[in-house]
Amino acid sequence: MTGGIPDVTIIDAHVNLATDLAIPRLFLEEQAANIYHRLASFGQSVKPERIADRLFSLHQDHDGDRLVAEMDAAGVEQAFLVAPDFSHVADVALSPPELAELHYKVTRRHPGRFRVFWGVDPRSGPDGVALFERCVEEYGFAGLKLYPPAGYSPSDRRLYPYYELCAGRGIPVLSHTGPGWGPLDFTYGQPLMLDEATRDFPRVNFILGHGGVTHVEESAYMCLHRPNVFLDISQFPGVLSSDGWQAHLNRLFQLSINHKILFGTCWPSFRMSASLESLTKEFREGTTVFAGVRQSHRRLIMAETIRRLAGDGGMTVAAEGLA
Amino acid sequence: MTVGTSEAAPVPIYDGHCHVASTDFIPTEFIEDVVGNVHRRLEAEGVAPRRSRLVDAYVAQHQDHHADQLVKEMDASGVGRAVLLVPDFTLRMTAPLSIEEMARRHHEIRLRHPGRFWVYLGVDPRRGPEGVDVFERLVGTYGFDGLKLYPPCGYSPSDRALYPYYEVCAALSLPVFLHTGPTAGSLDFAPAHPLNVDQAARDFPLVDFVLGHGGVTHVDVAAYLAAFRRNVYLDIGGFAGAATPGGWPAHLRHLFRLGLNHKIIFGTDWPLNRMSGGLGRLIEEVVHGPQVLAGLPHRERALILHRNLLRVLPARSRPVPVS
Repeated sequence: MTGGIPDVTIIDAHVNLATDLAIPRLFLEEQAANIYHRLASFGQSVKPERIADRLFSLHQDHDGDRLVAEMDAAGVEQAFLVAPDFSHVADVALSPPELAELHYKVTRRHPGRFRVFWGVDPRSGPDGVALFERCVEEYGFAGLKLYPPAGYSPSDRRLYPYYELCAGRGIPVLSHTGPGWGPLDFTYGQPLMLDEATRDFPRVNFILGHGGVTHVEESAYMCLHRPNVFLDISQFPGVLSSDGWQAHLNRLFQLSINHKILFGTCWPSFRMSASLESLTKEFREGTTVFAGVRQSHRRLIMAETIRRLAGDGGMTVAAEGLA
Repeated sequence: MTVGTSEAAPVPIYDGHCHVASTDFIPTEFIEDVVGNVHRRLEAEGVAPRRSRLVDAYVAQHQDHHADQLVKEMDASGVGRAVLLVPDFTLRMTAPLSIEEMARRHHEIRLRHPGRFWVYLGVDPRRGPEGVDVFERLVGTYGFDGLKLYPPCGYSPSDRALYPYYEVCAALSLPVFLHTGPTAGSLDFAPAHPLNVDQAARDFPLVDFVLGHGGVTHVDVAAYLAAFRRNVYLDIGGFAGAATPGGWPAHLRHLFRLGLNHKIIFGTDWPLNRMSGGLGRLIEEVVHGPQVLAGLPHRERALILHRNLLRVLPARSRPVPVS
């Protein structure tokens, strides 16, 4: 138990609702093809259709019940659902207002378990800004989510009205960095693209999604030098590290930016190869992840910082039937 | 032409990255750039000869006009076959030969050393539409095996002017090998960032792109591109001269333990390290040394040492069929 933190509160700052109502089928097909190519290259006999079928069947958790069951088993108290806006780059089953409603329903179905980062796209015009404002006011969504590989810079001036709203209401911005869904443009995933926005909006807190996993050096120095920049470690099970993700995270936790690091998984990204419970167990009981890391820092990473960013004790969504 | 391994049947070794060490193909300006750095180092150490003497020494190492010396090195070190890259420097440096002459000479080298070389012919997209015709004609006439790009000459690998070349590559199943990272001091480093390939890799999913030096510089980005894009591969050319703490065997050891061995192609960038022990010493350390491949499954060693290269080559260029 020397490296672990058995009774810590865990808040997952980055999960997704595994539903093909939100994730375009094209993206899942591309991911399945990539998995197949990899397995076949290593000489495993698999059928491409079976991988695709499995992936599609994993994306039927429209009400979040399965996710909550996994959170329960893993001891995750609360999670931040990231609702992406892919409406400008692919066919999405639900329109943005319908998607917002779906996420709102999930938060009501599982009171206290979810908060939502609402995804926007700078190309949506005033309608997008209005919808975001409604999501915050009526649905109690906690933050703004950006997916720059959809084809824009996070410092795009058309995003500034959103940032004005975030500044006024103390709402954080989570921006994806690094590679992502196959059909999209990875050149927009470089963390430095956020730099101008972080300077123009010093009162808005920006979280570099996956910043602890890809472009780590750049993300870490931005955290170190910009008071309003944070990073999350979501996607860590997939980090390209020769000695495993546990050792990688331990190195990250030695960089003097533990007050800027958020625990997150990007679950259910790794459902096909791991369980959420097995991942959190490494944080609770493993000897590597937190080796040499102060208890107070562990608490910051696992829950306290994301809580503070989202407004501690802030608005939680009322239980279904009570609102 | 095989070297035994401790584990199983001998694994053929193919070098995916060589140049004919000849001043007929490598401009003297390029050699002078290389010498500039060597001279600066020796100067700092107080042991620098006159610059012109260094240039003479390097030029003397580039008189292997028919690749006889290279073949001798290959024989001595157990390298069965190698890819000869023919970069097109003509728009930035004074090239002794035209592209047609370079192509013919490489064809003659292949005839002189049958069954030993593949050839990737270089182009610069600024040659205009007739450049595409020249490339297509030369590839057809000589049965060349791939396209070589040198973005530090001042263009992006996603430059639209390259798309007609990529169409040719898609039609003939030719791989595209592009330099990434730093190079000769008088060329541009910025276009050589690996993310510059992203657009082209998405637009031409049926063309395989090999990131030259991707396992040596910008490794984190190059590695995630290879992990996320089915048609992106990494080359490790120049590994022995890399600025890697702990030495290059340790660096390669890490690289080969990222779960990416289905995407990494062994290559040396001969004659880059000719002055530091030659091909034999490198191969010995890679194949039989205690670090680099030690303990890797036979299949993964085979992927790195020849199978991945065969997979990106067109079927007609493979000495044996691969799955």
